[in-house]
Amino acid sequence: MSGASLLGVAPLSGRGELGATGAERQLQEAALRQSRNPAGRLAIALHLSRLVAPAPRPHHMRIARACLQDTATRHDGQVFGLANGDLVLLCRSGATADATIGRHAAADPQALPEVLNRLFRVDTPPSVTLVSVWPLETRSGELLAYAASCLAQAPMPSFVAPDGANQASTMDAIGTVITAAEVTDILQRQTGVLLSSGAKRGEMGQLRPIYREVTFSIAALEARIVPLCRVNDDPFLFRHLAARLDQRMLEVLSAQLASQSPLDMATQSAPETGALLHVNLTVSGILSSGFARLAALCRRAPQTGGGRHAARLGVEVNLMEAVADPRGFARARIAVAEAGFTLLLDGVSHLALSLSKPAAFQPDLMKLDWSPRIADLAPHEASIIDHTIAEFGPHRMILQRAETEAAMRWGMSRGIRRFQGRHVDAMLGASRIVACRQAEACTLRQCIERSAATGTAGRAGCTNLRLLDEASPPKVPASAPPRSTRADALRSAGRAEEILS
Amino acid sequence: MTSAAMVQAAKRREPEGPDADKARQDVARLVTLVNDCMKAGIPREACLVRLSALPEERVKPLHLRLARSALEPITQADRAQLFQLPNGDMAAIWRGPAEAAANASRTTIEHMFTDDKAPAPTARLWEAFTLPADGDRLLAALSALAHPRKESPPAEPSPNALAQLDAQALTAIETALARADVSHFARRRDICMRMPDASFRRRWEKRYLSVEDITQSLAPGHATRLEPWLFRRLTRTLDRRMLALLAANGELRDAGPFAINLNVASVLAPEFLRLDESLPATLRGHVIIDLSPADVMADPSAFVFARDFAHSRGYRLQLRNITAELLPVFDLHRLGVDIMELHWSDAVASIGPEVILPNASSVVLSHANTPDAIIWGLAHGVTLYRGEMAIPERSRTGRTGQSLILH
Repeated sequence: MSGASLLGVAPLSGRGELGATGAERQLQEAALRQSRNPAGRLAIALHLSRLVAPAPRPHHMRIARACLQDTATRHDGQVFGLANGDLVLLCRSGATADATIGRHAAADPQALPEVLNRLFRVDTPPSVTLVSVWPLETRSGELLAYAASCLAQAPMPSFVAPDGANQASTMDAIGTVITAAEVTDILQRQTGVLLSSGAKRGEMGQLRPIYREVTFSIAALEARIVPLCRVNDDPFLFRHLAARLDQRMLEVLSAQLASQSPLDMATQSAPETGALLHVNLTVSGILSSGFARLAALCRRAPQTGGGRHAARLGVEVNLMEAVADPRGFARARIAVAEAGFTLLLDGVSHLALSLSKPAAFQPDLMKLDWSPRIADLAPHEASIIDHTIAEFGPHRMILQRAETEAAMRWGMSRGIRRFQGRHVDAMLGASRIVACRQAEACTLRQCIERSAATGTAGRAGCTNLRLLDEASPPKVPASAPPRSTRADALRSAGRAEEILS
Repeated sequence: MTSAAMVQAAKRREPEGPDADKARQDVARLVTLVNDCMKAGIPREACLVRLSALPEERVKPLHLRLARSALEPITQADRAQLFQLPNGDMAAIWRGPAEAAANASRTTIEHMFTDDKAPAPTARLWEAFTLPADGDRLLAALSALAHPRKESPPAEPSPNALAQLDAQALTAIETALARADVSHFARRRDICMRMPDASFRRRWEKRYLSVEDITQSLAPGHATRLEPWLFRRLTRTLDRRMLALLAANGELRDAGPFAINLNVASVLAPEFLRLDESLPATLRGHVIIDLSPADVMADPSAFVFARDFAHSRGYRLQLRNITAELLPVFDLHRLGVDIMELHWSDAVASIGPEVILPNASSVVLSHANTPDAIIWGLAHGVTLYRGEMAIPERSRTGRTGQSLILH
C-alpha cells in the first residue's frame, strides 16, 4: 500500500496503478476512505471478467488500462487491476473542458463509460453489463459491496493468455514434423452433412453426409513440438505454415488416391451420396504443379479405380488467402473449376461477413464459422448477416463449428442445410452405434474420436472399420436386432450434445 | 559468350513470385515512361545495365547488391528512377545531363565486373540512351524482355537468385532490427489533392521504412517479399521500430499531417500508446493509420476494437492496397474506415466511367505514375493521388501546415 493511500490521499498524478496482487484489499480500503468524503468522487468498474472467451485478450487489457489511466491522470484518480481481470477507476467526477476532441474528450469520466462500451461492444454479449458507474455520493454502497465480493473471491490464476509471441523458428520444427511423421497420425477428418427439413416446422430431418474434410491436426502437430507451442497464435506464421502443409497434403493425396486408404474412402463418388473429400489448400498450392498432378490423377480415377466415378474434391481456401492475393485467388478459382472440383471459401467469421463481402470472390460454397455471438447480435448487425446469407444463397452456405443444436437451429431458420461440427459428429456417431453390431463395448465419444482419426492408433478399438469409414450414412439393417435403450437415447441430438460437453 | 548462352543465363536469373511481379511492373512502368517521353518530347537520359550478359559465376547475389549500390550516384540525379528488370538487368532514367554521376556509376560497374583474366564485356554491360531520340532503341531492348524467346529451355532454379526469406532469416532480421538505427531507412511520400487549376497540393505525407534497404542492410541475399506471410510478420517488427522512431524526442515537433502503415496488432501495442502519449496536440486528428486488408481479415475482432480505439483518440483509418479485385469486397462504411487507397493498374483502368466509384472523395489513387491514372481518377471523382504524376507545388505549400480535411 502506498503512503498516499494510508494518509487517505488519492495519488495526484494517477500514476499509482496497482498490480493484481493485493489490489482487491487496496480497492476496498480506498473505497472505504473515499466513501467517507464522497463529494465529487466517482467509481467506474470495467468488468472484463464478464467477457466471453477468448476475450479478454492481452490487447483488451492493455488498451483498457491505458484508457482508465488517462482519465486517472487528468482527474485525480487511481486504477486498480483486480485478479479476476476487472479494472476499477476511482477519480473525480467533474468534467474538464480542456479539449473537445480525441483523447481529452474520451478521458472525461462522464464520457468514459460510453467510450469503453463502444470499444468492447464486439466482444460483449448484449446481456452483459460491462461497465458499472457508481457516484460515491449516492452509490458508494454498491462499490463497497463489489470490493468486498472481489476480496472474498480466491485469487484466480492469470486468465490472460500471453501475446501471440510465437517464435518463427517453431515453424521450422513443425515443417520437420510434417515431413517426418506418419502422415495419417497427424491428419484428422470431419464429416459435413446435408440436413433435410423435418415433417414439422423447426424439426430436424435426416442427415446425409455430403463431404469429409481432411485437415492436419494442429493438436497433433503441437504435441510433437518441444517446447510446447501454440501453432496458430500468429495468423501470419500460420498462413506461412499452411503453404508447407499444402505440399505434404498434395503429396499424400496423390499417393493415396488410388489405394483403399482412410483418405481415399471419401473420394469415392458414390452416386447415392456424392460425398466429396474436402482439403484445405493455399492459393499458391492450387497454382502449383502438385495440384495439377492431383487433378490429373483424379481425372484418371475411373480407369484406376475399378469403374469408380472420377474422384471429386472440394478445395477450401481461407478468406485471408483470397484477400491477401485476390488476383492469385481468381486464377486458383479457374484452376479448381477446370479440375472439376468445388471451391469453398473457408474461415469466414460472422464479423468478416458483416465487415466485408466475401461473396464477391465468387466461391461455389462458403463456410461460415458458427459462434454463439451470432445469435446474440445487435439487430442491425444481425440484419447484415441475414441479408448476406440470403443474397449469396443459403443453399450455398455451410455452417461449420456447429457445436450445438442451437447452431443448427439458427442455420436452419435461415435456410442453411449444410452443417459441420461436433454436434453433427455426435449425431452421426449415434447413428453408427445404433447400426453397429459390435458397438456394445464402445461409447459415443470413442466412436466420434475414432471416426475423426485417420491413423491406426487413433482408430484402435474399433472392430467395424468399414462402418467407421463409410462416407455414406450408416443405415440400420432391417434385420438388425433391437439395440439397447442407451443407443436409442443417443439418437437424440440434444443428448449427444450433453454427452460431448 | 554466345547469344544463346546469354539468353539462357538471363532466363536462369528470372525471379518468380512477388519479385517477378515487381520486375514486370517495373518494365511496364519504364515502357510507359519512355513512351510518354517520346510522345511529349520530354528530354531524359537513361541507361541499361545488362547484368544478364555476364557469365553466371560473375554475378553472385553480392555482386547484384554492389551493382545496385554502384547505381546510387545516378539515382541522386533529378527525377531519377531505378528499375529492376525480370532478367536481372537494371535500368535507370533521369533528367538532365548528370554526367559526373553517370560516369561514376558506369566506372564502378565496369570496375566491378572486370576480370583480370578475361576482358569484361563492358560494351554490352552499360548502354546509354538519350530520350526521346533513342526511345525506339530502348523500347526494343525492353520488348525482348516482354517476349522471351520460346526456344529457351525451361527456367531452372538459379543458384544465384536471392534466397527466399525463411524462419531463421526472419528471426535474424527481427533481432537485428531491434538494435538497428532505423532512422536511415525512414522515407516519405506525398499524398496530394488535385486542384481545380490542375496543380497538386500536398494533403499529407506517408512515412514508412524502406523494406528493400533494410533487407539489403540486415539480411543481404534475401528477398523478403518472396514469402508474403513471413514478410507480413516482419512488418510487425517494422511497425514497432517506426512507432518508436516517431515517438522519439523532437521527431514530430514540426511535422505536418502524416500516415503510417501499421498492423492491427501494432495499433494495440505499447509502442502505439507511447506514440499517442507523445503526439503533439496540433497533430491529433491529423494522423492516418494505414491498414492492410489481409491484416484486417486476419483478426476481425481485434480490428473492430483497434478501429474504435483509434477513432476515439482522433486517428483516421485507411485501407491500403485495394486492387480492382478487392474493390467489390470492401466498402468504407461497412468496414468503418475513413479512406481507401486504390492501387492503379490495368484492371482498374478497365473500369469504365459508367461504374460509379463508391465514396470517391475518400479514395486515394496510388501508383498514379502516368497521365492515364489521373484521367481515370478525375472521371471517377477521385481527387487524392499518390505517385509520380502527383507532385506537389513546393513553392505554394511547405512541408508543414497541410490540412487533412478530405471533403
